[in-house]
Amino acid sequence: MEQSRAPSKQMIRLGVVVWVSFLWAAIATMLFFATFDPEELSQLATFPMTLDRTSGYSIGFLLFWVLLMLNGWIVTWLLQSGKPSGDALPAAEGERHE
Amino acid sequence: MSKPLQDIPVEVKLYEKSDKIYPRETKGRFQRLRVASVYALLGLYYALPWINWDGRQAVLFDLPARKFHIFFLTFWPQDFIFLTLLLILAGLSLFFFTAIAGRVWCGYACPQTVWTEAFIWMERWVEGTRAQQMKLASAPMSWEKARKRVTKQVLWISFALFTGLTFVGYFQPIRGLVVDFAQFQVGGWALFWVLFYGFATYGNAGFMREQVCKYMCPYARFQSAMFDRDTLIVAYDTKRGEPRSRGKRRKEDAESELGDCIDCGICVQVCPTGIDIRDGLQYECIACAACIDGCDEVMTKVGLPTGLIKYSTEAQDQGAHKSLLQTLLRPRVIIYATLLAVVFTGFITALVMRSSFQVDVLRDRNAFFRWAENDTIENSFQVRVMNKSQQDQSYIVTVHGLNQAQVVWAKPDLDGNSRVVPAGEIGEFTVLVQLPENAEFKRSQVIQLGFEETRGDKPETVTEETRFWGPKR
Repeated sequence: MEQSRAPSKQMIRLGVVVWVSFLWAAIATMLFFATFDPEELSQLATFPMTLDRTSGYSIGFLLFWVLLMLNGWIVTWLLQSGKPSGDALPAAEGERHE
Repeated sequence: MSKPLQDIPVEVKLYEKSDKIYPRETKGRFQRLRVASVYALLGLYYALPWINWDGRQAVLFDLPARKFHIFFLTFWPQDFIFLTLLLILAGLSLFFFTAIAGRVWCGYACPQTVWTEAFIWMERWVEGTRAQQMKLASAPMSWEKARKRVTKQVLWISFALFTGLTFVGYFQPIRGLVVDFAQFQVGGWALFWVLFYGFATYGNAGFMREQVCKYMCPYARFQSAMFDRDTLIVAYDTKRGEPRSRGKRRKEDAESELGDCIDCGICVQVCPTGIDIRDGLQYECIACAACIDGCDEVMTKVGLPTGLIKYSTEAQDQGAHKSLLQTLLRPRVIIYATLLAVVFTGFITALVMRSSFQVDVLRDRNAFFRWAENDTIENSFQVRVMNKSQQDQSYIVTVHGLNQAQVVWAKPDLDGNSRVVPAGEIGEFTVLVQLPENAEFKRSQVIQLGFEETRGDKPETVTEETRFWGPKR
């Protein structure tokens, strides 16, 4: 439905995780490949592997992105799911007694 | 005392059903500025890869060759420091401009804003004004509606694909790429990235729009850290505007003290992020000034002075009168400006002083030294000469720090005492340092290998330090 513009909490979480990971993946890719040449890296692999540079950069970027997304997803999941049963709930704004 | 329950503000916005925002079209000076900005930035983005320089694409980030061409400059992975400095400069500029002028970046220059604006234009060409778009959206499906929707999608998708194609055109020569693309000859990673960037543009500018700013943009959250009382913001003049009233009530209440706001709601309708600026400064406000244009137009129509919503500062709002100079000369701005100037000067200096070639010297790992003809002690070095200039260059080698030592390129029959490296390439050579056995030397000592350009107006020299090993005495 085009009319509905209600991003659910999970959609927002997804958007934020994907987008922030994307930015960091771009930065990580630049830093990493300015230092290491994917062509030479592939020759250090422990198994026979041919990798041209274009593929190296692309795969490198996607790998960074996936890792960062996984990381972000788990971090946000831990933050929003479950609370140790012993912990008292933090007092809501209105319930605070002065 | 606990407050009564109904007074507790509850943040329900995120879960509320919010409707698609149809920003109303505006006319006015800031809108013109925005349009100009969209044309300039998108024009630059789409045109730049088509400009040629010296027989090659002027701006080409040639990843397969690990070289970045930007007009007359070529950057290598070794020049990484410049990219770093450039990013720092960009960050500092953002701080600087935010401190002075608030969110000008968001309102006028952010790719999200610029592409969204372009997509909104296309939407308006096909579906008409805000009112027409809303009517169309609520109308039942018909041939007319389907035709408009399909036309819009075709326009959006083609524009997005062209955007993706241009993006890849920064990384591989665009002229060939476009021809290949038209013949469906593009494959592999190039096609992947065209589609990827195209899809991202389509999704961000066509659908997500202001939600990117609201939920996903880190800058939108931390920009307030650069704000102070003298930062330019879009503000509603509450004192002048309130109490607002409209229509009949306005006429009936004519005797009482009424504010200038006629509560027409135009400022809300034109807002691309769907906020009411009269509620005060909100982090959703991207400072696009559409509400200023909208309100000014209305104020002119009803014969009241313009500027009920205007660019202002918090200090000004509270009645402070400061000259522009007083506003600019405040510690925050001065500090940002100084940092910016320092890094910028460093960047330019480093760029100008950048040597036109670079040398890596590596000792031969197989042997410390060997005996050569005529009882000389010989050390061998692997040398990589990187010609970072735009011309073929030839190099000679000299040795310092060791009396009576001589240095030659290995295999001297090739072309005498110099070695040629084509423009932008790396030459790998062997250099031999020879020392007569009867010379004075230590078992191991520091020597300098000098490499000199032999062509051009200003031949440069690069000196590399290494070690010379001899036999035990």
